Amino acid sequence: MESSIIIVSILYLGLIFGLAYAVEKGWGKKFLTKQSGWVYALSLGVYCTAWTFYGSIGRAQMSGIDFLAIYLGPTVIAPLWWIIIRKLVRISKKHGISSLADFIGARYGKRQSISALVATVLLLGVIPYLSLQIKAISESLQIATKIDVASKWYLDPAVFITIIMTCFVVLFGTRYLETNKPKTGIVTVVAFESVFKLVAFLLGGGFIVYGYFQGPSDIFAQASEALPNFYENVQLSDSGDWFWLILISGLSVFLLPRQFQVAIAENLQEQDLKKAMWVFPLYLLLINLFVLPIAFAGILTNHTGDYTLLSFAKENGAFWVILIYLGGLSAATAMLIVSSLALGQMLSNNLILPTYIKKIPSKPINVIRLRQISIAVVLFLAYLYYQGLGKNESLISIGIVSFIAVSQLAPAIIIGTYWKKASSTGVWTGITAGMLVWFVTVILPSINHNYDLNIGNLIHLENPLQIAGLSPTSNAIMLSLFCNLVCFIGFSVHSKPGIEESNQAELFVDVFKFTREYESNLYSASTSFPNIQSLLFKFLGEKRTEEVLNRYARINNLDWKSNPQADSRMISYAERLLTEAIGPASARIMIASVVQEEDISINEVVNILKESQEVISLNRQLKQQSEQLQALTKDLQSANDRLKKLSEIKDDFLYTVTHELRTPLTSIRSQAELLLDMGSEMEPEEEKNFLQTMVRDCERLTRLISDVLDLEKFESGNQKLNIRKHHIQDIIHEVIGSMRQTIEAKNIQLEVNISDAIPTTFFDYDRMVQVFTNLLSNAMKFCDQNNGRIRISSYQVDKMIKVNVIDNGDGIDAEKAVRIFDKFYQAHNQMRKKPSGTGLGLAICKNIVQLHGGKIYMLPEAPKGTRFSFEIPIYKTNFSQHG
Amino acid sequence: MAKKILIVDDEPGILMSLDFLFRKKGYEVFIARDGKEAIELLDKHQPDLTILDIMMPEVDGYEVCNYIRQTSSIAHSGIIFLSAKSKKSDMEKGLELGADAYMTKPFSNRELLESVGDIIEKKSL
Repeated sequence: MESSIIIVSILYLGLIFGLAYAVEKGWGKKFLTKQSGWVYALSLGVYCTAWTFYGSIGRAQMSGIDFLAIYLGPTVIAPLWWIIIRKLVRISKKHGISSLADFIGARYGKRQSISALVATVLLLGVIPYLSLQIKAISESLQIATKIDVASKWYLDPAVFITIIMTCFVVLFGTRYLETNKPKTGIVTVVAFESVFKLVAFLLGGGFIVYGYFQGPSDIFAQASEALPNFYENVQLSDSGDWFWLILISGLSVFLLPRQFQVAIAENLQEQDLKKAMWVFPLYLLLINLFVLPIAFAGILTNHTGDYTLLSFAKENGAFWVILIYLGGLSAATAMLIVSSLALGQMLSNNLILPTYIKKIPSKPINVIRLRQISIAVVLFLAYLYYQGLGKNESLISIGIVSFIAVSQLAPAIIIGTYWKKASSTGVWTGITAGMLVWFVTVILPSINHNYDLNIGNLIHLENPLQIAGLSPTSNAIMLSLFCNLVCFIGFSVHSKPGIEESNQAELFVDVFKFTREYESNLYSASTSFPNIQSLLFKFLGEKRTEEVLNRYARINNLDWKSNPQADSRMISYAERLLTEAIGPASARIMIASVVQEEDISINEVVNILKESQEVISLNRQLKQQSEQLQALTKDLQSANDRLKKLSEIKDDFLYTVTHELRTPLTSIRSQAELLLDMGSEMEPEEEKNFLQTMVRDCERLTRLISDVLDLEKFESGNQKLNIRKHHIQDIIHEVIGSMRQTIEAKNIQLEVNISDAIPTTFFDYDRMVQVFTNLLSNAMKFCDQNNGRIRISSYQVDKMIKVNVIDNGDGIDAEKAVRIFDKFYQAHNQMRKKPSGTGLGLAICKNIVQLHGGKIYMLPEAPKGTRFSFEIPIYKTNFSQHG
Repeated sequence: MAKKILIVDDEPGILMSLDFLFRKKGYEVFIARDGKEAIELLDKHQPDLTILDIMMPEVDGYEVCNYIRQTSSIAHSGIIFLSAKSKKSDMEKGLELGADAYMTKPFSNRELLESVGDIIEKKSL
């Protein structure tokens, strides 16, 4: 068992080394680029450490669902990431920032002292948290293998894990001098470990919940019977800790060094945040799914404490032990890797380097080596802490100690990116005050007395700042943040920041407004090119310095030899290069030492910034205007096309109308001429015949003209309907009555079928008569000439009244049916000249029915004939009055 | 021997007056109400001149015109289009098809009569 666990551990560590190496060598690049959103979201899972993997269950056994608070915080705040984190990402990318200390330092005037303060807070707050992970690995290995480590320190796996982690981070975390270069290998490993620990936890949890019991409800049922205080356990504790824990965990999700590293420094594109906003909360939900069931399962079966999962696993053979142990190992190593990377960088850039380089160093400094040493120091400190103080603390308690410490940075970073008045004095006093309270309420009690391991409430000892009625945890969080905020805001309001600090405040708060070019204009400075060159050489090395300067010269078309003067843009560029290597505060000092800066008044700075804003807003306006113009042009074009089309239709219509008018006119003229010229040669009978034809053609002309005018009124919308309440059957009966004689004369068989149930509705009586007359006379024209048969029916369909007129004529092709309601359709269709009529009747019908909100259509009737139908809605009130 | 005229139109009023006009002027008049009927009468009577409407059901005036020019017995007889289609392009098309004249409706009886007389005289030379 022992040997197999050790072999598996080595294999696992080999796997993550291999994965990181392969990714750095370009393996799976295409996939990783495509899935960068998933990798990013999963890498945020480094939030869940061994504290989650082992500790949550132990805490749930002691104090019920209180453990959930620190997962709810990040979930609650996730919707705001797009606002808060995107801004932090944008600022960091723009200024070449990759750590919290650099971020806060740069915001408050690129001060080394502020960066150093932040770095100190983080080292103090987070190193114990690192030692916790070492402890978790060591203890889990001991539980799994029964190795006794108490006797000899070198048998403790903690030693080896510390060394191996140091190697890993040094190998893959310090490949580049620039701290803001993406560390794809590490991020991929972290994302992989997030998946691994989740799978291990869910498998292990599922096995316990469904193997030992019949699912969660079974566990809870048994627990509620067996445990007298079960219900108290699954309720919220009434200490108010919840609120405060949610608050600080919501902040920690980007303030913990490891979280800032993966969420902000390693963010490749802002869009990835959108995926993380839902994937990360989902991840937290999944990893907590089985915590409560396992906790009670443990209590019921006598497996308790932080390593409940492992003690279950041990009853079920090597596979489960190895799975759970590796899950815990992956949670702990991911945290160790990212945290030590971030802390090591801060230790070297913000604490060690500034003491070295008060002036320009005489010899080149190997910044990377310094960073590597710092990482080793951080991990070694964590190991020492584990050997000393930390061994006796429960997993979860140190976590919260850390959270409270890092949340002291929240005002400086969050308020500082939205409030320009926030000043370095405010930050200094705020953080110092908060950390003092933290020390008195959290650290002091733990130095004086050891924590009681069996009590979930981590901080339960008296301290001088305890407010009566508050739980110690709430007291510590509330009091520290309160003092911090009061000092931060109070001193900010009353302080007068310098130019550099005001500049940075502008640039940070209004990050979305400025372009980079303007920022370089902020410094009116000059120096000689060799000065810059030798400065860069000290930190970047000969080769790199040569490379970047040549690139700059090539891009900007410069010749150093003929013009050795370095302008402010060149100086800004050099500062940016140094920032990426040693942080903004140190970079500023270095640049300032070689550059003769002219004092720029605050007014000038404000003017430059204003100018930049104006240019940008002007650009935006211009762009908007040109877009509007384009849209307008497009609209005009389409309106023109529409008009052209309309005009074509109108021309066509006019031509057809004149054509239709010519026919009767021709006949009339010809006959009138005959009567005039040759009247004397005519028989009286012939004369009468001609006169009759002329009268008929005149009537036809009149009809045509009134139809055209009718249609014009309908189409132009000038036709008003005279809407009253009527019965549709009245219309049908009236029209049939008026045409009965003709129907009988043509020997047409008429069948009428009107439903009794048709309600009255509102319509224009005369217009409806016109529609129905038209349909009926069409039917009479087109029905079978010898055995004519017309069927008329009317009934209600849903909220419409439907009228059908069906003839038994030759019918109309389906393709023509669509166009039969067009004006002069018959006239256009030259092959089929109408027997009579104006060719406008159906077009007018269509207009009338549509004005009533109805529809008219034609269908072929089987076996022979045509069915014309129209439907009008049943209105309860007079719709024309409502417009 | 009286000259033979075929009048093709689907408008009864026009047929009526043209029939009267040409009969009184001494022509032998045949009447067709559509293109089909016109072709039958053309085959049967070989008229000297045909007055053709264009827009007619099934077989239109253009087709009848083509038929006349392609049928050897009547290929050289006169053709006058008498149509309400008054666009320039319509008239050009009619003349291209080999008609001797194109008159638009409404027409003057006298002009039509003159035109018919001219064409028949020219053809018989």
